[in-house]
Amino acid sequence: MGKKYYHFYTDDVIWAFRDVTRQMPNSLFDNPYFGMLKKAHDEYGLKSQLNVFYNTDYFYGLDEFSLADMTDAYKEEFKAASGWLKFAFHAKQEFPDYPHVNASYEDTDKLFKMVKNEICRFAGEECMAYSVMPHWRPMSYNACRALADNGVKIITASVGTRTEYKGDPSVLPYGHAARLLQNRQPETMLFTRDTRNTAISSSICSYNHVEDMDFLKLAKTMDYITDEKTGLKFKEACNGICINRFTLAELKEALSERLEDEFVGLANHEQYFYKDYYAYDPEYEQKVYLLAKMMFDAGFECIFFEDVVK
Amino acid sequence: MEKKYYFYFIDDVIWALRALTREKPKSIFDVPLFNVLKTAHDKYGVKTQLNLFYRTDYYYGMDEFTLSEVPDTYKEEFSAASDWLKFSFHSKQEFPDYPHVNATYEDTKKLFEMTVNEVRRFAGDNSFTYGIVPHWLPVSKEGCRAIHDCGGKIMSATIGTRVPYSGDPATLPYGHAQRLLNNRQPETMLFTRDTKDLAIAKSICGYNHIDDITFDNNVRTLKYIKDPDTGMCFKRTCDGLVLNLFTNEELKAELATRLDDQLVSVGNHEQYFYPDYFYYQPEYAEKIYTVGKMMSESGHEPIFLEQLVELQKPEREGL
Repeated sequence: MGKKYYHFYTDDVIWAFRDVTRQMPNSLFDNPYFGMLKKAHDEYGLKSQLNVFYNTDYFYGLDEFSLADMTDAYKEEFKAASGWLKFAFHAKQEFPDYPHVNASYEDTDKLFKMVKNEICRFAGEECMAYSVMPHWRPMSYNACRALADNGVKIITASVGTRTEYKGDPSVLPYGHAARLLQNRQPETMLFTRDTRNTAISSSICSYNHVEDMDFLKLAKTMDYITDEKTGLKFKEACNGICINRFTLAELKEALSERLEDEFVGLANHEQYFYKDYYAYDPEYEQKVYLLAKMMFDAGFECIFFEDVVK
Repeated sequence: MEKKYYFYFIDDVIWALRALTREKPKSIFDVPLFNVLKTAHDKYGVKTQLNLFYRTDYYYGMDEFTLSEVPDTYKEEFSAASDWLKFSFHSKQEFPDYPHVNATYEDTKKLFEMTVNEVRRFAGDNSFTYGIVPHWLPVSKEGCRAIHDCGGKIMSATIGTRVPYSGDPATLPYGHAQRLLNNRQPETMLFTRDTKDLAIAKSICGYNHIDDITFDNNVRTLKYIKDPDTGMCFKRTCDGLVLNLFTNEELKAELATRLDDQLVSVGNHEQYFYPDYFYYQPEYAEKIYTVGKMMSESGHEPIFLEQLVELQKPEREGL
């Protein structure tokens, strides 16, 4: 039987850094969020890629925190954990939706460097991952070029038939047509997203998009495609299992259907961990442990997404 | 004959101040938007209230600009124009929608002071006005208290029957249920907004809401109410007359129906003035001149929102 692999990533990470900086625990892993990830690693070998925001969002109030505020007091602890805990580029902040869809080369290059420089400062170069799951996914051609020029190896891509935007904003969720139009690039179009969150089924796609539905089959293997123009590898990173969309019982069932796959991608979002978040998920921690245990028991090896690149 | 008044405001203003700061013209009126407003003032007497963002939004890219960067070199020119051009509080930035709906006292007070302090610094004390048109309108009770404690005299309010949120996010435009739920306050509920922008007819209301549809009849009068709990005065402003929702011809027809009104309120948004905005409106300046000309010819006197509380006492106390 061939080897089986899985990877696990958490999007939208910034609040754990804020807590560490403000609370200054003895150990990084005294922080509940990092402590949870360490426990899942120690017990089941889980490796986590945390896709970070550069700053918290005004959505939650005036109390701003950015990666530039993050203390470097835990750098040695981060470096020692870099075999199983890495950080990667995601977005400047949580809002607006689709931050990269029409982004310029210059903005993406600047933001990537801002994020990378801070990660290297507070955690060390070895903690930087060069696979990218962009916030909301679509990235303009110029943004993809900027990522490639900064050393990114592989990026998640959306899949489905591209359709034209005909000027009617009501075909998209409220506010998203404005994102499509702002600095619109020729590659920015529509597609139908396969997601449990049906409110965003009608979605925007950009350059990191593949029309051939066979692309989805690659998600269950170690294979990917190479974009010749940018040199980036494209691969579906998650294929439907975003664990904040599942109850613990549903997750158990969904995972049990993937245990024969060569490759499984599992996603999450940071916010649901916190009790003061309006959509707090009390099962958050249990779900992380569950996936790690089930994948461990099924003989999967945990890798980082960038490790699939041959 | 009874005196008639109108007031005109532009929401979401920040880009004109960025242009002023970066281009350093000889006069503030070399900046195209300020020039349009001066032309409207010189020809028709238009007074303009500019409701400010504290900073530009990441929505448009990484090039951030805040009010703290506006130079004070034009202070004398702004001060000299302050009888017809004033600035006011609006929001920190353009997004998220409904920034004040569940805002804390502390955040609102801090942001108000950040805004007023910068305006005083670069434009002088007389250039700030205390009639408030909050971004998206709803403000929490704590937010209303904070604005009152910062000197706010009167605030725009929503009107209509309050409806509880059912828990189904699909009853609101995408993303707005999150705004309702984040730090949710007891006064945060739903109502149906009377607007030409049907995409946001299903709306959120906060504390500055009048649950009395009969008061809607007073929108075209000088009448307003005072809330004894916060000390803030509330008035429904605008009544659907937002310039960016009308063509110039539609605007003329709409204004023609209001020429006998005791009060006409006219709103606008800054963004549509700029050719690189995705909803740029080439008629932007013309529509402002239309307002100025028609209101001038019909005998309406331009005022600022805050002057309402000087013109007469509240219609009633209590929401």
